[in-house]
Amino acid sequence: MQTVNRILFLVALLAAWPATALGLQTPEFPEPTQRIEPYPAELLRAAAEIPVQQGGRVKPLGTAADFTLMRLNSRRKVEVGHGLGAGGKDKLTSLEFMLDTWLFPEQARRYRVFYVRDKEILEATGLDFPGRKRTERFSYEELAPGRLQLMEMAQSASEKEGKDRSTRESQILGLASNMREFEDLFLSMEFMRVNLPLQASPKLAAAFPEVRPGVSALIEGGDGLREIAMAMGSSPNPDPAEMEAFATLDNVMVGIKEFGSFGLSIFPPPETVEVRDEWRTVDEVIDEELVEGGLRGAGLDLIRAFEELEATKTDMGALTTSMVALRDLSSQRAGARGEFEKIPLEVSFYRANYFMNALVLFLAAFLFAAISWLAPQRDWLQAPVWIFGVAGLGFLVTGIVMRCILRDRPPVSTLYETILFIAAVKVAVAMATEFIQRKRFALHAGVLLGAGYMFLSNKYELREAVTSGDTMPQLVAVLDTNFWLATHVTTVTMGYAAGLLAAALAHVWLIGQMLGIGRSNKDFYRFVQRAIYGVLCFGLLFAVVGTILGGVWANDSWGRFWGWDPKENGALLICLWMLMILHARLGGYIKQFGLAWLALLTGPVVAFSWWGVNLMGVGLHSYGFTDGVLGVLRSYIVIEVVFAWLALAWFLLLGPGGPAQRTAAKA
Amino acid sequence: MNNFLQTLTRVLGSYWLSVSILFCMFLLTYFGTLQQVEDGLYVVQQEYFYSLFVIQDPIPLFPLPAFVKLPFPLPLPGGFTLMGLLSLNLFVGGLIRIRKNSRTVGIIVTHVGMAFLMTAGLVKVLDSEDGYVALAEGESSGWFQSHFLWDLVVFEAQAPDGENPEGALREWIIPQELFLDLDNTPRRFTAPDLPFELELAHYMRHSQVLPQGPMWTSPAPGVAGYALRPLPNQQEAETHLPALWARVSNGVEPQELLLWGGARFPQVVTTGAQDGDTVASGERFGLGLRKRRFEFPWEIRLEDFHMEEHPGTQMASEYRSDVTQIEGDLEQEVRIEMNKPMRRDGYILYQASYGRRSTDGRLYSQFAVVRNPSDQWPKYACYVIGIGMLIAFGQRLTKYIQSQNAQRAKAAS
Repeated sequence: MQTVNRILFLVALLAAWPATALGLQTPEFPEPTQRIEPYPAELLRAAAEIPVQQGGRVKPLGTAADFTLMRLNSRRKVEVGHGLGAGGKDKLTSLEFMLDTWLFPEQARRYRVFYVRDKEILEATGLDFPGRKRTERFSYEELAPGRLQLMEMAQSASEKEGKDRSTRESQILGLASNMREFEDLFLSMEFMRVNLPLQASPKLAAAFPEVRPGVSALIEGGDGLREIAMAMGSSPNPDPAEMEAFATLDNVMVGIKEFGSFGLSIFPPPETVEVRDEWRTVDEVIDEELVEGGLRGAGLDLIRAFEELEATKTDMGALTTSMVALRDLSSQRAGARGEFEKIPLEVSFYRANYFMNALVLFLAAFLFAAISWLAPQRDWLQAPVWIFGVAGLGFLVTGIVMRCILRDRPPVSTLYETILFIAAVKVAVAMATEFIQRKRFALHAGVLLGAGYMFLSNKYELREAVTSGDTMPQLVAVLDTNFWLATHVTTVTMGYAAGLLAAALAHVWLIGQMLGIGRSNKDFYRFVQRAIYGVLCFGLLFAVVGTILGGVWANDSWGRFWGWDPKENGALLICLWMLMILHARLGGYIKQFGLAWLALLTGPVVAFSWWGVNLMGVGLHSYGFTDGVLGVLRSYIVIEVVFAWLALAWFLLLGPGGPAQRTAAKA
Repeated sequence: MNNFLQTLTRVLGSYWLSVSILFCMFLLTYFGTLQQVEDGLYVVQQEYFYSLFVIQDPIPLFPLPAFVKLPFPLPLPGGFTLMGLLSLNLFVGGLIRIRKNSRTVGIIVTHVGMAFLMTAGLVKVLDSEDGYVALAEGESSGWFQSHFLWDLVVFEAQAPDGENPEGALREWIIPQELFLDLDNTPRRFTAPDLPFELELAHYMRHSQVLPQGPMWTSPAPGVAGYALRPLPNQQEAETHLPALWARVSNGVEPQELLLWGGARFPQVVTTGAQDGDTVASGERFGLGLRKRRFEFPWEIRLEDFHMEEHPGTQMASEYRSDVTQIEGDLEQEVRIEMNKPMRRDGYILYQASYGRRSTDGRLYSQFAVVRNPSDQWPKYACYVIGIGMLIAFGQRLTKYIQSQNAQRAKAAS
């Protein structure tokens, strides 16, 4: 019901912005102001560290802004031109974008932040954008005329089960949700700029002698307001003019609080965490401050600090001072509850961009690897591959360790983290293999895989932004155990990593053989075989131990060691597959081609276990949200299966298993 | 004879058999996973993994595109068959026939761990009980009930008297294993001290009772204008409501009954002298289907249930129950929480879930209960397997590194 009210309210309000509807009196807002210069770096540093509570945890505003923009825009930056970005750039960071929605909302409404995959859905809302691409970004101002229609379509789509929705309906829902989120960003901060009619009657003027017309003034004069209300309530003939002035003020505050209730929980409670763990939104602060003896001013100074932002926004120097003051006050409050200590670390974690740097370094390493193929006799070309590869791994591992510190968790507790961890293990194992064999292929495959997985993690982070709004979400109760996360999850994920690495090395052998690359260099292919075998053994150890540990955990959580649940079966499939390969090799049923061919198929088996079972929609392990991943998974598996058939055909017709080779062998 | 035994031992301990079993287990696990989308976990467990064989219908080979299907029905050995063969293969090939020297120590240790793990599984299948008990604060129970198993219960409630001031309850139980296979042909059940006979037929795994009408036909005879309608299997097999058609005679007025798992009250029959169609007087017996009950050797009482959510979300961060274990005059307080079960006298109680009762609106805490003699064996098996594999692969790796270093040294010289 609250949502319905909110939609109705917003629809009416936006239809006649800035005038309010639904019988509310029009609040006064200052004239729109444009930002014409970049935010100073110090201001941005301070803003990034303002703590907010979102998704069950306290995080920096910078993180909240990052994921908000990723949800809307599918990117971390937004192109706005005019040199408004930090350092005079034309792109705004997510934090700059968020601050603009707070302080310069009219300007922000013109930023093209809404990523629309297919503009056909806009045509259905009556909007036409000739000359614009099919996949485009649009501004709020451009989309606003079709808003009502869009919301109606979204309402119809939301009445269907997720699996019954068409792609178009899902896109409509997504866009509608993004528009509402954008509206929440700027409307929830109206409390800091609204001019309340605090002098609209003699009694109000007496209760609020100061000229300041903001929410903080209202709270400060709360006693006087209560007296007026009580006097009017007890008077047989209240003054109609006073009644109207009071009702007007009340109506405006209803709107401000309604907007505020959808904003960020940005007010740390004065109570301890044990007494109250939930932070307040502005509407709760206003309500509680206005109740006699409520928060005793604990929210008032923060509201004042926000109003100060609005008051100083045209002067960047003064605005910086206000932002720093707000950050200091807010961090002090959060710190008193023990909820601030990791905020600066998280800000620096995201600022350092470890995983993007790792991607760049792995790509650089692979570039040198590719160059070295042109001049294989020049050993010195391997040095930059090692240097960039190790640096990339360093960034990756540092990023993972930082996440562990920030979350107080072992390295893997979400699907997103499995990608990072698997990447690190694969690169590390590939480098260890290279260190033992020194035949280059393991190192080259390792850095290429590292780059690929960093790219994948980047893409999946965008998906996480849409689905959970964070890559450090809180965990459901059953997962809240660092012991089992550190043992079962870590080991089984290492098993995944090894399986995928074995599959990657199998590609090297098969492609090399099929294309006849250096076929005479039997030594090289023998080393590849040994690497595949070694990695499979490594993978089997971790897959088996991890799978059994999973059963032991299940025994402690659900009362049974093994329940044939899809995720458990997925892990078992990997163990069975690897065991089958190793036994077939021991029995002599497969030789070089057989080992490579079966190792190649380990990839799809691991992919099914890692992602596929989560997409089936059954079982107890439905922790990871994987909507939209099916296409990628399916493509990967189809490509691998087709490649496996091609390789088999090559082997049977042209390769060592073919008629010509058999005849030669007989002769 | 010796030749035969040798051949048999060679076959049973062969790599060929190992590979075949592992491949069949792979297929069985894969199809058993896919089939859960259609049939739910419990049915698949029974049909695939606790069976001798299964015929897999053509289904899409997820996650390949939906048009890629298994082209024909595929017969596969069931879980019991494969586990039996694997045990033999492991024992003969991995423990008896394997060469025993320093190079195979790791493999042998691994196989011992696997054998231990499979023994744990066998003990669990043969001698365990599992179910649940749901309690609101202040409530206690001396038993728990199965998720999936049902019994037909005939009971007689006796009024309080001098011998039994609280009254007494006599029960005759027919376990579901005795009627699961019943269709049209009735089966007769008697008991020496039960004063009537019971015939059962038309068992349905999941069903509802509906008024008879022209729009549908029941496979079972109707009773008093009502009949049983079979329903498809549900994903959550614990929600199944089974049903039986029954006829009582020989000691009571002959009558047909519909016994349904979802009935709130039992069916009642009365013994005694009969006068035409009218029962003059007699003892009253109740009949009903209910989930199988297992006794605790003590009682358990829920004192306090506590649940917390992550701030600002509806995601549970923690839930726990403070219970008292009551054994005669002895009372012991225990806390049960997620991942920290209570283990007493071979019974393990786990914090499973919580909810609000539709009947009285009270919050309850639900515990999964298991009695499993092999409860901790998999953990020990895991240690053994881990150590075995570390030895086996460690030996190979060390040897390989040594040979690589030797080759490099040779090349350098």
